[in-house]
Amino acid sequence: MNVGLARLRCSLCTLFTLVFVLAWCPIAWAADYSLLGFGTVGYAISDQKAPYLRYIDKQGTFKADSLIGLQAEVQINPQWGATVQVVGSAPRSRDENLEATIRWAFVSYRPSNEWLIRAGRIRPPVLMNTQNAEVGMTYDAARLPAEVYSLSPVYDIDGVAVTRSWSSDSAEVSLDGYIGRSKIRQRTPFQRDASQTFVPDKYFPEAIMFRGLVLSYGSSAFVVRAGAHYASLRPDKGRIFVEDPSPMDFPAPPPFGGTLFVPGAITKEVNVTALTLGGEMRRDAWRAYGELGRRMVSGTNMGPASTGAQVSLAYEYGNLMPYVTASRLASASSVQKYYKQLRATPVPIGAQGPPLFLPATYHGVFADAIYLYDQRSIMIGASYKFTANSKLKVELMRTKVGLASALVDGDVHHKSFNVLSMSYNFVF
Amino acid sequence: MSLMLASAMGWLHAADGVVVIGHANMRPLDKQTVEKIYTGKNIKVGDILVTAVNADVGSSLRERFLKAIIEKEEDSYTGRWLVMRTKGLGKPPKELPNAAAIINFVTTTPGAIGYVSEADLRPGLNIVFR
Repeated sequence: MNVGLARLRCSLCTLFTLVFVLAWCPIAWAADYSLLGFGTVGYAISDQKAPYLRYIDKQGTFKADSLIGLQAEVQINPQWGATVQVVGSAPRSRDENLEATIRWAFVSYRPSNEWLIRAGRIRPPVLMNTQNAEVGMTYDAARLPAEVYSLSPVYDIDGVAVTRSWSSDSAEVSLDGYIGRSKIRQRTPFQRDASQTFVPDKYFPEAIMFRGLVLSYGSSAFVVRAGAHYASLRPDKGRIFVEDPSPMDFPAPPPFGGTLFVPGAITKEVNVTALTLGGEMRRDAWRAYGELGRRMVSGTNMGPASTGAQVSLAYEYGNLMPYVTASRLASASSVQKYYKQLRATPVPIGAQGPPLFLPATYHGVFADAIYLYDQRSIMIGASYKFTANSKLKVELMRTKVGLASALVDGDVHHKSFNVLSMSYNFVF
Repeated sequence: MSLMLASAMGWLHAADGVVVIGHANMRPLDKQTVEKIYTGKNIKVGDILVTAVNADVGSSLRERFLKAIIEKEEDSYTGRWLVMRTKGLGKPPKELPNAAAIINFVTTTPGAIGYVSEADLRPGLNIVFR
């Protein structure tokens, strides 16, 4: 809570400083100010003891989906504006307590109808609902599928985004380019051996440089978006990356000898390339929706190289929008192969004794540290719009975990579980 | 002058009794340009920075304007702006409570446009679309 309060104090100090500066600035007196509030009160419960998405288990939780946000906008003139968004929710760099952070704080400039430049803390349009993910009123799913939306641990960067638009009477094409950096704490997967010390951080600090290009086409009936994104990850706060453990002969007669996986040299950075594709079609009351995100990681088989996808079909029946969604997330075959290799290789007895004294779970610790994904989900749900400002959502999801899933905190393999989610979403 | 131009370009009738007015420096607009301004796609007409104002949510004037010019229902229009705001892509036009406030804002703010009913028109107003 102390860390959360310190961050909240820092966020509020920044906000008050901004307000104070604006209060003394003559240009600011003529500006147009507005405030938008939004929130979700969400409850989710599963029929499984091992928590899904950090919090969802048999006990039920409000933490996974609930949040409250406030967005302040200043329009100095039609070309210049500024936006600040603060969100209070479950924290993103630890599991305990809550936090309030400034998600966005940027200045925007439109030199012409076709160009938009934003600088500060921004969120690029990586996936179809990345930028409005916290505002549950703006979409009908009770929860954006984790199989796709876990593509990045955070989407907010400190940098610059430039948008060029081409607009006709019936459609608009836009090209977004962005570059920026972020400091995050990447949550490490569940460790079965709670006493292990080889992977000490629950949240591993990283400094990331992001850049990307996104092309979007939108008309009243059809929206499609494709993007290419690059992230260079470096360890932060004195941590190090090491190359993947590789198999070495442990020369001794069986059962004392065998294969021992030995960590490699220190490595400076890991690079991730992500390709995204999404589309939505509307025809009368029907909505069809699909998204795909593919991550390619160079230099390691322990990273989140994977492909995630979802398809959804919905029907608008007055204020009611029932939907069905199917989604899948699977690690690259090289990652799955490496995981199986580590799991299947016992630690040589000779290595468990002097002078190495490695635990029998040594290979398992590295296997558990792999960002392995092998899961599929089917969701049936509905949203009901009470007014333009409030919406109720209910969803039943069945998820099947195959080999393992880094989204589940438990020793869960080849098992299915169900999640019931309900949320009330509002804007004010 | 703008009335003559309007006649010359052959606009036949007011869009559902709604007339778009602009500051004296604003030139005539077509329906597509008005739609783009009110949906945030355009901020400039030529070299002029445009500031648009809306009537209050729920007013019959606003409803008629959205149907006739933007071709959207209120829900769809505010829903679109909600998504744009939550993506940091701008905010909707300011809302003013009545025709007098709209006329006062438009006539005193360079680059401003707004809309009123035919019945609220006064001499000297610059009609940019009807």
